[in-house]
Amino acid sequence: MNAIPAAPGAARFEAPDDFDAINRIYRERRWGDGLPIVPPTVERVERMLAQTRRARGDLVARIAPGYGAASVEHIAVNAVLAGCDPEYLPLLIAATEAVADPRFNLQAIQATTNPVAAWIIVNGPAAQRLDINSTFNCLGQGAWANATVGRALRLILQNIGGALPGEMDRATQGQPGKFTFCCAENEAENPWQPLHVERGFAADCSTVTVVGAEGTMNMNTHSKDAEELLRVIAETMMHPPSNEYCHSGEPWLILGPEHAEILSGGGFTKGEVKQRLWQLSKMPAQRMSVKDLLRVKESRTEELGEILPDTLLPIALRPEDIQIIVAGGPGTHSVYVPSFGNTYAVTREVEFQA
Amino acid sequence: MTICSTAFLTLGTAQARALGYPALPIAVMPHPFGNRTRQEVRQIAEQCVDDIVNLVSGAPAL
Amino acid sequence: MAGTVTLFDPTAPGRVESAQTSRSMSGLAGGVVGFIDNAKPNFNHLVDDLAELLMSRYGVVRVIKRRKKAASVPAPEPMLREIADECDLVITGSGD
Repeated sequence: MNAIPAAPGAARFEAPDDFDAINRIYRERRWGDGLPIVPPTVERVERMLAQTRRARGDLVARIAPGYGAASVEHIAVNAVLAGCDPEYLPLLIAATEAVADPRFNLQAIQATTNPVAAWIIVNGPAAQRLDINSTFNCLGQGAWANATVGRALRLILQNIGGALPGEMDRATQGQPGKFTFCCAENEAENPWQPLHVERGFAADCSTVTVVGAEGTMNMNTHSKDAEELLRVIAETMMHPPSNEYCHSGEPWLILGPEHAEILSGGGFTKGEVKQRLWQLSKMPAQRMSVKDLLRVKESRTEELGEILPDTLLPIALRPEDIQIIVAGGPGTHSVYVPSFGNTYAVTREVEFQA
Repeated sequence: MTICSTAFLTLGTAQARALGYPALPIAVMPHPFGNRTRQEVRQIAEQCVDDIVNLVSGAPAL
Repeated sequence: MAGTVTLFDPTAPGRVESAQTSRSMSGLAGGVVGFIDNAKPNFNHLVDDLAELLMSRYGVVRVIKRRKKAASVPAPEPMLREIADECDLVITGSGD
């Protein structure tokens, strides 16, 4: 095994031992996200570091666009800032590794004008162990782990990656998901294989998957018919000013358990759902604006051949690129999560201390 | 060297520094650029070409 | 009066090595200029105009134009190699 490269530790400084004064310092230096931070004292950072077997000086990844060296210690510092319980640290180490995988295309995701956020999906026993919400309001407020883990990854991206809003982070509007965006899959109510198993991990393995997510589009439908449900989902996915149709992407669906049950009860495997959605969501090229169609031609001619106004553009290169998880509580809602387009989700195993 | 519009100059300089090329010459065009007519692009090119030559010759751009 | 406390800076240093800086050129006469078009609208037109002006006014002998599939993907390695091997000056488009 190769030696793990070392990274310089986080710099220390002395500050007045006063919550408001400390928050003023972090605010002035732009080391926060706009919400008050938990002061990263030596004691708190040490408590965090005790939750991993990895050495504090291990280099986990370099984070674009500033290519700051994310050591285990830097990750722990940002986790404290975000209010994480120490037990969450292994999750954040895995998520940091995942966003730095070239397939995720972090350079573009961090510096783009697009609102793309890094969405964390947790699978396996970690979800229960760390009490990560996968049911009611799993993308909303109220769960400590969901809120602080997502927040910590954003602080890692901003502080270690150097993507400050208005400077290297060029997002035109951004989105609320850039504060925090984390949930677990509701594996208990998933009629198919959970995400991590589909992606080649053992069911008892804990994983984080990071997704370059443009936003969330709710789909409230009382349909009880699998075919009809697939049709209205596909029609939601079809939208002309889309990075997915422009570049071919990896669109995500969060199926509510009730919708998943209807599809499964209608005889559809997850693979068949993907196949059908891929067919149903093909969009005539002429629905795009003229300028966007030029971009499509640059980006997809190699894949699709000559693109004419009546060419049907698939949302993704292959049906299996449509990604599906089951999450949420009771209700007739599912969510379409358009991706940034030129990005693929990355899954990493979470290594707990024991 | 690189060319970007005014809205991207902050990113351009920060990115060049982050990649270890703090002195990378950057020619700047007015933003937004994508919606210019063909004629306007030509006018911008006339200005830009002099900037490019000055920047790579080490002389300050106008 | 509160005492002091030791805290951590959450930011991390970027690359420390200073990569080779670009060569200063005395002029472009006789040189080869390459463009990497980032596929943003109008950049192709700007490249056409700049190519013509660089050749007609500044004595550039040849221009190589290459285009990425999209601004949000890196230029492919063979494209970078080709253009680095052939050109005295490479001009890329960044952002919009």
